[in-house]
Amino acid sequence: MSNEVTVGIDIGTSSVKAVAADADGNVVASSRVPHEIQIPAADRFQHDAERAWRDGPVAALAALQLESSPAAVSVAAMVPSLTAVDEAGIPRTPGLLYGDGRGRSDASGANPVESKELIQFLRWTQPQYPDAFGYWPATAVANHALSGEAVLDSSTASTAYPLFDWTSWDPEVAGPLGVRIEQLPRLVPTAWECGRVGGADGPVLASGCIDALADQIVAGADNDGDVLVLLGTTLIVNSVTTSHDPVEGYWVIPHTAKDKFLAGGPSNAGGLFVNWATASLRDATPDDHVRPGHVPVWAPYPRGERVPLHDPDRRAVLADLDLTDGVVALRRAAFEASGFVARRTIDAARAAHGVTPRRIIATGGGTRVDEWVQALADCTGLPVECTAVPEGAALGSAFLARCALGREADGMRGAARWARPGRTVEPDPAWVEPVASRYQRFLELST
Amino acid sequence: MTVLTLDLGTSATKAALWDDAGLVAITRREIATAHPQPGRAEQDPEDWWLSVVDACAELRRTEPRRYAQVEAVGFSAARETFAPFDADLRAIGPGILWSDQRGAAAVLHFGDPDEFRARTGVVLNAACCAAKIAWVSDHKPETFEAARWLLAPRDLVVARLTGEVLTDETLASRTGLYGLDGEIGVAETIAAKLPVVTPAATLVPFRHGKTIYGPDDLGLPAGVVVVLGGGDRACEVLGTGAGNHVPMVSWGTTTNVSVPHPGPRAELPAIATVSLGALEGFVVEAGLSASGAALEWLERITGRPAEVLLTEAAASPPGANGVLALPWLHGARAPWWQPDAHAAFAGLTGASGPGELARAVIESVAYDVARCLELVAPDATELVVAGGGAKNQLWRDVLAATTGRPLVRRAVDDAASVGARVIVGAATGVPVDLAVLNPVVARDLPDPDLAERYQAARQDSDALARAVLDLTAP
Repeated sequence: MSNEVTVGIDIGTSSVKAVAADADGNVVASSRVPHEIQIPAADRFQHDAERAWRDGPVAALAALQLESSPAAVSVAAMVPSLTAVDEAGIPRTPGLLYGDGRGRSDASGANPVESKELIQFLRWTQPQYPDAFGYWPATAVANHALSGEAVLDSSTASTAYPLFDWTSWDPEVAGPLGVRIEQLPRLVPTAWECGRVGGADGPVLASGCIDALADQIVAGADNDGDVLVLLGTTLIVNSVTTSHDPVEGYWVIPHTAKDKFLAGGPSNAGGLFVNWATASLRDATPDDHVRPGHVPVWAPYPRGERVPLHDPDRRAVLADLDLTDGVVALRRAAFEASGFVARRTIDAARAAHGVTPRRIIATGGGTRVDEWVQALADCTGLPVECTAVPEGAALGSAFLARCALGREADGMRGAARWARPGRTVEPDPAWVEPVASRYQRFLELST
Repeated sequence: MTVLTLDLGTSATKAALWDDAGLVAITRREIATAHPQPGRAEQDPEDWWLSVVDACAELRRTEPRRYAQVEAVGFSAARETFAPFDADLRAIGPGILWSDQRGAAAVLHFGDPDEFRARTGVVLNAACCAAKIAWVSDHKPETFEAARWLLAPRDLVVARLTGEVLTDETLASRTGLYGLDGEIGVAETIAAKLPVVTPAATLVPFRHGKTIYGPDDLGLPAGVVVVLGGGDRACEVLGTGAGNHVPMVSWGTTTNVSVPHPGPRAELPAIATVSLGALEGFVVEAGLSASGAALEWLERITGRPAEVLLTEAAASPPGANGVLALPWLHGARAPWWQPDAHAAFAGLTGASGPGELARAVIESVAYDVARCLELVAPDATELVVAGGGAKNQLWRDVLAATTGRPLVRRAVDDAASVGARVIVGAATGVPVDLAVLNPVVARDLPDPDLAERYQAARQDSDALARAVLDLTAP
């Protein structure tokens, strides 16, 4: 069984990624199927759910072009998400995503388990398609497309709290929303065999988990002083700590590593911001330069901010511009904004838990963007170790697929042996000081 | 009378040919500006002369018959720009532009800024011409030693044409080197390198035998007379017919609010910069930060042509979908005078694009104009628009609405060239009628709905300005 391969699929904000890995976590194939983020109005944030959640995972699996069938497949996705589907499992309403204004409530800003965002999504979606066959998050839509089974792992279901009461769907909560329990996906634990992909002889479908969880199990950021940074469409920064004391404005959640916690949370200053901030800039040429002391400063909140500001209405500011600022300076400013958000998060955990950051472990597609990784190192003053496989959530899901097959005696914690360090990027001494003074300006602009 | 005017501006030289009915033709030659460091702005002084040669050559090619009839040459001159020259009028250092900010440390040579301003009418800051001359003396002593002359672009061209090294009162009064009373206020080492100061309407004699070039180098007929002319702002004021209650608002690289004032000095608004008028009185000026330069910067970073940006700006609704700008890419100038405060955009959302940025820049310049008017011309009844932006319908609509004033627009947008022609008339004793030379062609009234909207939104702009100024408050 040494050549046994499992597949992890990650439905992200910008694309679906699939990774096939062998028993030791060596990637044997990977694929990426991009999809559009729809922002029809400033407070809307959605997918074409049929394309992104149903067709995308099937296409990504096929695009791996594996010579022989994998042993198991598991799907992770961003949270929360929701659409209404018909009897064929085909989405009939927009695929609502985290941060969409239709998910807002008094609890907005709390961590996903407590934000009630998914319940607000149901409240909006149910009247759009009252007799839906189902109201499903992205993972359930994908699982149904792959196996005919609309199953959902309890990890993802936890974002529906209190509709999900930690064991099952609560009819008392569903009823007032006009939703019947049978319209919700069947619940299973994470890493559980729950069907077959493409028929009875196909690979095992293993239940998955929240994307960030799949990311963290294979990142190798398991010790105090490690900071796990996900450079994705969303920026997620978490300091590994042994304390679960609250960090004001941030979330403290249990880590998959034993007796550890993660202090931090998600920010909108990830790829979504960086792409927006650089989209209108012309391409840089070799004649375009930037000087360390001469970069404008962003308050990077064109879509509001999550931790620690919890303000969906906040808007972006770009300050300290002068005529000599060219495209490279503006690009740098966008990446620094992301770095400043990371530093603010790390500083908060350090102040609250006394944990001294020693290194960043970065994962996600953004680790392929040199400017971004360098700015992250410069802004935090920490070395950035990029994981060898940027598609961490897909790789972690492939590991969970092994767990569902019963191949991993230690369960999820065994995933640490799949962690592969890639390149390390050190802070550039010439940039550290000017960046530190810009960080102060960033804080002033962010109050 | 057939007249050639040469407007030596910061970004280009314009050569215009006039007959008694008005403007015949105008040509333009760009002059490149280098920014070797942040805050530096330099030109090759030889380009000043060559731009005149090229612009005249083109005019001569397109209007050979009239060009051969030119009887007088007049000038409009970029101010606060200078370069060091040897006795043979060869440049021995780069031209340092008005926008160059290298004089920061040298301002200390000039004593109390308030006293300096009261005496000279000029704000003492890093961009002050006197401070930059002191910088050359401090940092390039060998160049300074070797320099026989410190000359503005127009002064160089006139000197090469006539052999006479002169400058005029409007230009001199803007350098900070002189009091508004004409008294020189700098050390002898600097004073010795300055040209003689005369009124703008001076007929410059030819010092034959002293000239390096002559009128024939520009293909001008023998017997042509040269009129020194004035600074570009003083010329624009003349060329637009601006008056004490009709301030001129010009949109160029920067935007400027200029109010002619008969004096006496004690009655001039204290807040603004004051220089001498070309033919009489004073010009009270509020010079704003980047305007055209801000749009050019947007063009440069987005790679979008100006027309596309302006079309997108016009398509963005009033208020630019909530995007606010502070256009201070040169540092905050009038009415703020806080050069460390720089440009910003705020209120950006995922839906904001270049059109919003461009519209916000235009609106923010208009807000700064409205603030300046409150200080230097609260009784203005209407505004006369000038500069390249006068052609821009969006700018005019926004300006009229934010200031609540009707806008007067005249036929020739190159108001500085018109003013140079007016000065030629005064110097030669054949005065011109501005209504013929540059008739009023349009009066734009403020759109009441738009005016209400901008007046309501003004406080948001005020609040942002305050917040950004506070970031860099001393």
